[in-house]
Amino acid sequence: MINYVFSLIVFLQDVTMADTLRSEGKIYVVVLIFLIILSGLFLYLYRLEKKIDSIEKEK
Amino acid sequence: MKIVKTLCVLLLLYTASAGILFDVPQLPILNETIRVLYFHVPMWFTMIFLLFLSSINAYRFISTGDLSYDLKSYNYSNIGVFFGVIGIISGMIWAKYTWGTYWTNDPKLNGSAIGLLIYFSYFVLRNSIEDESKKGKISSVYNILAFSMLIPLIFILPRLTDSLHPGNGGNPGFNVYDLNSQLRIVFYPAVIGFILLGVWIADLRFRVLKLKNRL
Repeated sequence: MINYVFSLIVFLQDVTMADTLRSEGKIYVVVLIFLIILSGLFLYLYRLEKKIDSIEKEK
Repeated sequence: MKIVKTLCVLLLLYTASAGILFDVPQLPILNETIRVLYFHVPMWFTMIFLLFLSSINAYRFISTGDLSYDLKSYNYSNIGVFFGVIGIISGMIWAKYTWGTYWTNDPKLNGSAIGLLIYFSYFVLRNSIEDESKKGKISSVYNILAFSMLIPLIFILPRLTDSLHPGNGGNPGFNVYDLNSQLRIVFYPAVIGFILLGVWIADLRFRVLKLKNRL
């Protein structure tokens, strides 16, 4: 059992994955999340504007 | 308005990525928190800009009597104070990790807090008056007074004494010690981007107010 766990740990350490977003202390992840939040905010403002546009046209 | 929005989106996306990734001066105590400069300081620039527009519109209402100027003035001060509150909260967190406390009796901090309180009472005053034109006149006069109080509270009094806050104590210009060219290439776009964001939000809110009041 212990052997199995150890081999699993070794196996996990060897796995190579898409590490681009993990380089330099994973700072790019922060940037990405920041950009996603900002884009969401802008999208929200844009949609809100569209809604106001349509109400203005009704009047 | 379209160019305002596009520019705002582009500048803020640039600020978000460049503000975190670009090189910054390595200073003791501040460490990486110097990047807060790109987000905390533009809040105050935006606040001042919107409150300036608010007082201009208050003046225009007094000289013309057109109620839409009054509504504009109210709207700008509302969004401006919102940015000011975010500025104070972000500044408090920054202070906690660099000065060691959320609040000190620093003239810049107290000045901005008093300035915001003056604007809070503007909203109380405004909402306490029923009659529309009376409401407009009294709150417009108060608005101009509030803005002219804000200038000495934020820009003049803190410079007359020593202050922990950068940009105060004596007569420092922007280029003396805390802004080098590394910071500038992100800081100025950030300021413009956030001001445009404030203008955008204010425009949306004004249109909602206009629909509500059927002006």
